Amino acid sequence: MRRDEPQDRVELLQGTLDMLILRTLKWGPEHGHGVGQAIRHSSLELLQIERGSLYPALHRLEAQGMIASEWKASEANRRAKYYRLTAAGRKQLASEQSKWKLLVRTIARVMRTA
Amino acid sequence: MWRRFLWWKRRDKELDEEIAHDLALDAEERVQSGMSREAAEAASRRDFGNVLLIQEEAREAWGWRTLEILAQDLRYAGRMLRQSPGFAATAILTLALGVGVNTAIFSIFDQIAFRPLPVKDGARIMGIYQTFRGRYSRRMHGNPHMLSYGEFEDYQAQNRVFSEMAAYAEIRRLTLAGAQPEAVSGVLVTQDYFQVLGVGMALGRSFTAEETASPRNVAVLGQALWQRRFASDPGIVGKTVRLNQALFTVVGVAAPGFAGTGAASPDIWLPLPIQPRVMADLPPPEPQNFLAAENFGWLSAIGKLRPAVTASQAQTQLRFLAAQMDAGYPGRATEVSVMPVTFLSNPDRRAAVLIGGSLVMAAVGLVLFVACANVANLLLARATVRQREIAVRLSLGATRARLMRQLLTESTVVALAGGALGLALAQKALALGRTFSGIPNLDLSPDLNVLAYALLLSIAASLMFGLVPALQTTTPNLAGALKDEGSIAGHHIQKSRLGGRLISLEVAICCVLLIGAGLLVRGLLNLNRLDPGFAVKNVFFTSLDLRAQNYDEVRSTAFYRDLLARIDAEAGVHSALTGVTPLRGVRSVGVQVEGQADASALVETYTNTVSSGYFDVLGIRLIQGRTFTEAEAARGDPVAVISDAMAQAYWKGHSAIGRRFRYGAIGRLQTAEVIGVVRDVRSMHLASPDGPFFYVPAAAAAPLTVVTRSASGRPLEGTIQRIAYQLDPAVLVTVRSSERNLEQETAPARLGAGLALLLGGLALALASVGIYGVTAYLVSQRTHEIGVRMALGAERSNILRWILAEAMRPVIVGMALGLPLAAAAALASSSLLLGAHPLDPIAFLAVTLFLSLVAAFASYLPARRALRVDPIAALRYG
Repeated sequence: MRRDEPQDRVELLQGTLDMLILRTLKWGPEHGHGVGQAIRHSSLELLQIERGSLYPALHRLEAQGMIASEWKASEANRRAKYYRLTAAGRKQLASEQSKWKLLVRTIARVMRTA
Repeated sequence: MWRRFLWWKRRDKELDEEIAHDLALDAEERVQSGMSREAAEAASRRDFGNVLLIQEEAREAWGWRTLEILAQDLRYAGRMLRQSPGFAATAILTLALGVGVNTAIFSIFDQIAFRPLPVKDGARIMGIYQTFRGRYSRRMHGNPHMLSYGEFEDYQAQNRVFSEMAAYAEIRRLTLAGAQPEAVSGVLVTQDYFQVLGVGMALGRSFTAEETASPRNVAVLGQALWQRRFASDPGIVGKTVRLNQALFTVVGVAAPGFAGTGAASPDIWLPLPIQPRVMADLPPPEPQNFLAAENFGWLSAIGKLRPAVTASQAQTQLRFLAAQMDAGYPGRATEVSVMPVTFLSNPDRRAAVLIGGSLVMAAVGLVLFVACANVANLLLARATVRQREIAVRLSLGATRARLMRQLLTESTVVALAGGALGLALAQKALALGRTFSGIPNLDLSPDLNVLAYALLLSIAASLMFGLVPALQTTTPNLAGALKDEGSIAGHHIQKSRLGGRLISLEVAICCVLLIGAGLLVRGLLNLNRLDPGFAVKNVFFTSLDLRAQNYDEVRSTAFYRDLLARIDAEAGVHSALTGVTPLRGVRSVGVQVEGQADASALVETYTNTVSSGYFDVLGIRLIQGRTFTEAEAARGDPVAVISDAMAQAYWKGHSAIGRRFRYGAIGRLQTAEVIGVVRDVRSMHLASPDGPFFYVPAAAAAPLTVVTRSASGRPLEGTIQRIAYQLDPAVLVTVRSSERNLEQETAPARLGAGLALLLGGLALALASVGIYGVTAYLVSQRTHEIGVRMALGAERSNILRWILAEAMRPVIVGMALGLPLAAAAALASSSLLLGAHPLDPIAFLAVTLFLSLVAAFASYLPARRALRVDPIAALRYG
């Protein structure tokens, strides 16, 4: 399913990856690979994210205290690093979400008049 | 730092594991969708992205980069310093001198005023000091902060802040009998003394409760005395020693390494109640039994804080107790201070040391400042060389902050190297100084305070000398620097101006230090040339412990008479007796003069008791009248010889002979008739005459000193010792030459002058290096201009004069700044100048001349280089 390159894949907007990660972790703890998969699935494979680029973002968010991590055994009984949302992360997500909505509405209004 | 590093290492490993986990899962999925394992793994890796880049990015997220940049800067700094070893050596050595001299002085300061006693739990041992305010009268033996025995007992019984308390008093006159009687230093102590100080016994035991409750003749020996006098006799415990005519049983020998609480280690410890038996030789106004005397301060007190009690809590409680005691003395308010016992705990002397120490610290601080200014100058000169490198890096996109960080790392490396070398130098100097100081308990090895101080100083220095050059160097002026127009670009001229300002500052500081040293030296020379009014050469003072040996007045008189007669007969000299040894002590009493306006008031006046020959022996010239006859001296007739200053003060314009005055304490006044007037002498301070002074005949009841003048210049110490020993082998005889007394009197002044000279010299040497460097820089900057001038026909001497004028301008500005500063400093501290005038023209002139000469020479050396400029080469390549 991954081999057939969809025609209309979109590049990620600058600075939105953090928000997507936070949104994904809202459903519960997840390891790095799982976060990547979840984003791809929920975007119906349209978002083009380099898998590797998730990790610096995860570490940055962790350093900022938005998410916390813990080593646990995964479903496949492998050791994996699970990330979860912290209270600060939850707050950050809420504010990013409302900013994002405003941005989308504003851009859409401008584009409609064009 | 290390833990942070380990944390980083762990994060690195975790990231690797995460990436591996991701790759494995992804490959798994691909295999499940039908790919071969190899193809799946390769695709997964390709899809994942650049692992190295991702690692870099993640590391930056944890701050790993900071450390990497630091390591890079350090490597870079090391490389730069290796490339210019001349600069590195000069800068490091300069800073080492600056930091070294500061650390050395601080070490001394730290040891004297701040370091706790070198005993177990030294920092928890507190000294207790009383200061009395309000209306009070109090007698004392020692210093005014000392406790009476009653006060000590009250504090001891009622306080809840100390686990143990102890009191002690030093005994100054203690003679240990033996084949050769010897003066030993003793300390009277309470039972818990050894306990508080955590000192064990090498042999035997310390004092028991009975021994410290009622007088028992027992003693604990110090290690030094035990080894010296008793050849480390292992069976010493139980034997007896004779101290001041009383026998004491040795009960113990203190553990090695215990040095007491002061500057010198005591030889022997005795229980406190024994005081009346070993202090029988005190003149009458002192109480016989100190322990029973109320409101009489003579004890130092120490206490060991209970766990979790602070010094200020202890002070609060003792103040409360003192307030209760004050109830018995209306009008008196006792203030108690509780502070850690240090080498120098007497609050008054501590304050004096703090003031003197601050002055010295300020002076050495100035030296460090000069050193920093020098290194800053070196950096500025080097900046020219690096201008291109920096400009290239700036234009390649390095941020200014990043470059600043690198330059500052470089200066910090230089400063730390200089600091480490300085610390080593300071330790060497202190080890040397310690042997000369003659203070056995002075421990000058570096402690944490000293290390921290040196580190702090180095870092402060690195900012002082590194910041301005770093700011200057990174000021963007890319185009000019890249095109190599550096030498004519505006901010280069500015830079040499900044260098000039630093030189002015250095010269000003040199001025202050050298003029201070010059004034002290002038004062010292004055003192040496000064006629004190009495003979010093070939004069010997012999003190005897007759009272400690239970001599009464009759026996003393006979002893002195026999001693003087035999010394004079054998050595063919003249001897006399005196109560006070000039330059070693003073005595004063109240005086009332008959027929004067305010006849009821007592005027404190200096006095001495002397035998008839005193004036002859010391060559104190008689101005009017006569001196005592031997009969008058022997009978103690009510006659007096007064100083010229006293005659002028009371009988100005009239003859003082035959006048009467009264002296002593109210209620016990004695009358004396003036029979002679002698010249003023300087027997208290060499810097000034004594002022009103009178002599009365000596009575043998008070301790007297024999003064002998040898006509031949032959040393008399041995002869006097032998004669006294023949008269009574038990008497302790101490002979000192007057020259040695004089030397001791001027020792602090010589030390001060020496230190000021040393610091001034150091600052001058550093400033010379600075002047040399700036001139050399100037010449190298102006090579082009010099070439032009030469090509246009300028004489070599003209060029030289021009360069010298340029180089000397900041020196002259510095002197113009430094001279008034030095004058102000001298006027403010005129009392310390040993009588030299604070604006002494010779000192000011000499320093100005000397400084100018040194500066001219320092700039002449590099200026000569300008003469070797080849005009053609300079024009073509300059």
